[in-house]
Amino acid sequence: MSAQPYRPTMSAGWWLARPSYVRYMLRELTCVFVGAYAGVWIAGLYALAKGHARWFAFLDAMESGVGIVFQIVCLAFVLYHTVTWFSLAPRTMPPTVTASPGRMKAITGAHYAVWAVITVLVLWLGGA
Amino acid sequence: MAMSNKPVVWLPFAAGGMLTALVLPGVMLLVLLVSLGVLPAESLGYERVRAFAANPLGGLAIFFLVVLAVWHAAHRLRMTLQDLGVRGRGARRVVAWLCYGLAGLGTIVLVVALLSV
Repeated sequence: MSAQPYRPTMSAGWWLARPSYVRYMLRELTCVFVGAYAGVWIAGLYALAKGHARWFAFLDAMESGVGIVFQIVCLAFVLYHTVTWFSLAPRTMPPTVTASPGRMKAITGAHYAVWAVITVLVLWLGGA
Repeated sequence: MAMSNKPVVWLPFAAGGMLTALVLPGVMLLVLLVSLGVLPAESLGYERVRAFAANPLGGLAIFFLVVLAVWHAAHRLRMTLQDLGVRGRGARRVVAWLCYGLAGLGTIVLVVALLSV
């Protein structure tokens, strides 16, 4: 037997085998919608820099049917990102910090509390 | 010893993931509610948003939120494409260049926009 490089044999559809794998893949694919939404806003800020007319053309596009559907789909995926990110947060901390399940829940809960404050603040500041 | 680029891409990934999770839903909801006409159109009026983006603090807030979201997405997409079977050496290199290249391009366009707003 000679040494050979390891070749993984997983198929491209491996993640369909179990519901938890599908949830994992959904979580990872939230990045497509985070990236797309951020990309749209880069275009929006470029339009803002180009002046009044271009900015309102951008807002019109966001208000179109396609724009609304895009925003709702992106929001749904970003919310899934938020929920999964907060659940993972205690797992990335040192085990001494997350000694018990109660501690882990408290850390996730603290993230939700900060999230609520920030969301209210953004809506309050932005809501004219 | 080979130099690892992991810390360089991990910091924006983690920081972007946290900022995206905490701040982006509120911003998205605000924009959606304005688009739907629930909140007044003046919320995203030209003078108001321009003043916010031109303000150094406001501009920095936009910069960090958008740039970190983009780099977070680029790194996660690259890793996910590997999960989905992009495993060849050449293919992985192409994917890395595409993901980080797009993120870099977006960063440049955003900086240009924010500096000229």
